[in-house]
Amino acid sequence: MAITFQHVTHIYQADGPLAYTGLDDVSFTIVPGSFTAIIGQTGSGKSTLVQHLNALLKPTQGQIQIGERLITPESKDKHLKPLRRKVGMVFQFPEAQLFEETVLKDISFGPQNFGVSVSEAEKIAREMLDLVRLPTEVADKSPFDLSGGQMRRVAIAGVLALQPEVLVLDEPTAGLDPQGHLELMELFADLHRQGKTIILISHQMEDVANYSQQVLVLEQGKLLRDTNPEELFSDSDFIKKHHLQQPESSRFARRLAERGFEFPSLPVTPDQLVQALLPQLGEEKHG
Amino acid sequence: MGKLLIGRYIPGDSLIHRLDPRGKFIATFFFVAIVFLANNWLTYLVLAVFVAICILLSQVSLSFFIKGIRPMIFLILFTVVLQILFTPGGHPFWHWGIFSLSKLSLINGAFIFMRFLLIIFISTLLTLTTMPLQLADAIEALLKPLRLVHFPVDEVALMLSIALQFIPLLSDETTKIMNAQRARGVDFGSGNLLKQIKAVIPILIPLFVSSFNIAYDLSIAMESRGYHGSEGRSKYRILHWQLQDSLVLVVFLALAGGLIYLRS
Repeated sequence: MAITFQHVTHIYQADGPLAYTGLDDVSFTIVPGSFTAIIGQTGSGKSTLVQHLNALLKPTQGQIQIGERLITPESKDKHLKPLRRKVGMVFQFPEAQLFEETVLKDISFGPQNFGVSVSEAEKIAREMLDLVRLPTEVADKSPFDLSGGQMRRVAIAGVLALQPEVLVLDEPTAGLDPQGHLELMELFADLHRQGKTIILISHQMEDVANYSQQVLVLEQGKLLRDTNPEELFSDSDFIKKHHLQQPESSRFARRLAERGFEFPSLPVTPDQLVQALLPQLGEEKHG
Repeated sequence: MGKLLIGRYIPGDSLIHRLDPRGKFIATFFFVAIVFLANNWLTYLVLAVFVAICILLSQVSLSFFIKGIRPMIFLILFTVVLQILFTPGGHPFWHWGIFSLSKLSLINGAFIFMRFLLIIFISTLLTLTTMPLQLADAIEALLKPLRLVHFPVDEVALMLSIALQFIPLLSDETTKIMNAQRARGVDFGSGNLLKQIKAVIPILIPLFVSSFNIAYDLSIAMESRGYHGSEGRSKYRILHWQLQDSLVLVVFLALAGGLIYLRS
């Protein structure tokens, strides 16, 4: 499902005395099956933007094309429900959305809302438990008895159970330990390899560099840049000017470059760094 | 959310903003009481001019007040219409069964409308120009005499200020949870009554759970910072009663005197 924003502006409480602009004339396209990262400082409009992707918010001006569906300021809420199934949304700290008596019931809640039968939904729920690597015995536990990390997985499983084509993740690994972080990111990378479109909000430049193909940079509701990680992170002036940070590999490569190493383009992942360094190290050894 | 203005504070630095919250609190309550003294056109005019001056002094735009009244307008109109239709006496120029319409009842309706308007405007003025924490401090200060009858004033004040500070947080949390459940296919505000009530459960339970978690974390954090009950604490925010605060009360007393003199 391709997603296209055309001059989308969103103003909160547009007719009230406290109106403020969340998004300002934003246009971009996300192609199906891509992995897009959205970065920007707190309050730059990232969360406002992603809530447009499944029509939780509607544009004040402009229009959004999501697959077959066109969302305009006039779109009625009634007809938007099918969209919610195609675009799955994992909010920040999604463990706060759990409410059912058992983990299994909570995960199957989503599919049931879209008319899937109870038994079918529970079957999906068990598959999802497996997918997010939770042991099967948690299925009958109360979600509130689980650890924070496990609750997060249950919540994500609850969204994946809708079997969306597009998965929107708003800082999915915030507050997790490094191991949990890596496991979840690998899960999302797996889903991406299976053909899902992934849209990730992140403050972790390592994740942006390692996983994404497209990067959208937001500042104060405006889209500053629509680019890819290589191009973004090699533009050191831009990074500095907009208070962003380069991933560790780029920063390290820059320091090496100051001491005589040469990089045709600035590496953004550890792999790229190693690939760029190996031949140069070899030369020195032989020479 | 969003549209409701009750309890919202608009930062500013006007005369009214700088007044002592205790004084403002007393004055507002006093005003609500003396609104009932008014019983003819002249007295209502005096009150209206007085409120208009207060609003002007606060430098808060009038649109806030108009918007603040919007959610209540149906309640007000309902009451006014009932008042008009059911006021007995006077010379009815229209009646049908128990309903009647007379000059007296129309005037009565207009007065009731004015009363609502004045009370809502003045209390909106209080909340728009006073920070919630200042209000809590004012309530604490005004409750102090109740200590004599062993009323736990400090505890109530603490609960009040914590509650006030957590209102925006919980309201954000509610919006967030609603959005998350909507993304999972919950329809709010559609279907029959039973269906709509059922749709509330996925918001209420997570909201209660996160309130428990917040309460737990907050109490631990308070204890670890040395809180062990309200006895023997000093205060950080100290209210200062100034000359202008006394003057405000004098003005309000004068207003009351004027009303008593002018009422028929």
